[in-house]
Amino acid sequence: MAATCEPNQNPWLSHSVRIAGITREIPGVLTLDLEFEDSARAATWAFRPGQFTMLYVPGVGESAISISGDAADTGRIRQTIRDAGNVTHSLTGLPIGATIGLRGPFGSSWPVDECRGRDVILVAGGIGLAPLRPVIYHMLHHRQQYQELTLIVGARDPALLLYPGEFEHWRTQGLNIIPTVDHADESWRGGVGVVTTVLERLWLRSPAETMLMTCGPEVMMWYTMQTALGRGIPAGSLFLSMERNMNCAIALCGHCQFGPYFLCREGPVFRFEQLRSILRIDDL
Amino acid sequence: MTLDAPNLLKMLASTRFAEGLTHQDLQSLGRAARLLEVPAGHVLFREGQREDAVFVVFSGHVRLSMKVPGRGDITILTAGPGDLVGWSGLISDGIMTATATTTDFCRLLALSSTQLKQSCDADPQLGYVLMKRLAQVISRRLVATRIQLLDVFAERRNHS
Repeated sequence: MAATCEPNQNPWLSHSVRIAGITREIPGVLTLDLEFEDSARAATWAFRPGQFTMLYVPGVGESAISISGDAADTGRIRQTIRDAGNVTHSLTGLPIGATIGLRGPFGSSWPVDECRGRDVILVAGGIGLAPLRPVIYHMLHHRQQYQELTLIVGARDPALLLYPGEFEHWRTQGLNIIPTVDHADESWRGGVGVVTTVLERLWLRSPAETMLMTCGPEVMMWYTMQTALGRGIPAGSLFLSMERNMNCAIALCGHCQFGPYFLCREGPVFRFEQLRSILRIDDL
Repeated sequence: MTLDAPNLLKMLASTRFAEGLTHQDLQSLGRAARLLEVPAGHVLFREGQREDAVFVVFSGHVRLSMKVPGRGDITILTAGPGDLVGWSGLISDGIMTATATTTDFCRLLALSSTQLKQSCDADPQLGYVLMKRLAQVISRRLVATRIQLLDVFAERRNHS
């Protein structure tokens, strides 16, 4: 599961990519479609669901961004970005046709192979759905390899649900989607409440044969894990994706150190057992 | 809809609320239960009104809401299969603290709080088991409300 950059690639080398498309998702969040200017690099590009890249805006800086697109789509790289700081603010203000730098892909990936033959639950909160979307694409492309597939997706309110335009298509492909929000008016037909409440009542065919992956705010992920354990899902079948300030992306600078791990190298995807004892330590 | 006692017990036993209860406990609960099948939009109880029944959702969903002056009816939680709603009747005077409205076709088990409390008074062992189960339900609801209060999806800015 753990990996760094592709073999034979210089991890420091930033490749030019052109913004070929922009999708405005929700306020402050957009998805960029990126294409390599170097066709040779485009031909060798590949990533695994859960990995990230370092996007570089000349004169501003670099930021680690999850890949949110389809690994089977070799022509372009899709990355969903939240305007949350200087670099991401700059990235979200660029027009179509602009050129930026890209290093990667980096990091560990979701256990899509280990999930074969099992029931899979994805629990996403807010923009946490972005690094899980490649898992959804992968599993729906290989739908027959998996048993029950469920996505529990939480947001602050219905207008802040990510990728709602894809939900219907995903449902027809065999993904059970349960959206839930913290606040809603009477026009909302989905649920109100936190993702753990939904997980608490979700029918499980066989907890011992179920795998769960989660990405979202750490508090949400922690209680998702507690709920999953309470439902009988083994600790070894629980995975989460962590977020910290990644800088070099190759475990040299130490900015993303989390206990004994470098998130950019051993993460961002971890088995819950790896982090269980350190996840709730203050300021780690 | 009326259901014969064995089927009612079977239904009750299959709910998450009744998971692990003994046959004897289930029979005590079953004596106070009746099956309710209602369409979407049916109001089970209203905030501020007295209600004797406590409901175990068997299928479908129930919207719990509170009136806020100037903002209307605000949904605070959607209850689903296995959830218990209207438990105020079991622990207090039965004055409901929220309005419960079905959002789709629902099958519910309505248990008489009065009957349940009488059974618990007569059989403290049952009372202990039931109250422990109720405490678990309330505890889970409290944790969920705390997470909701934390507003974990609120946007935060960082340096990158």
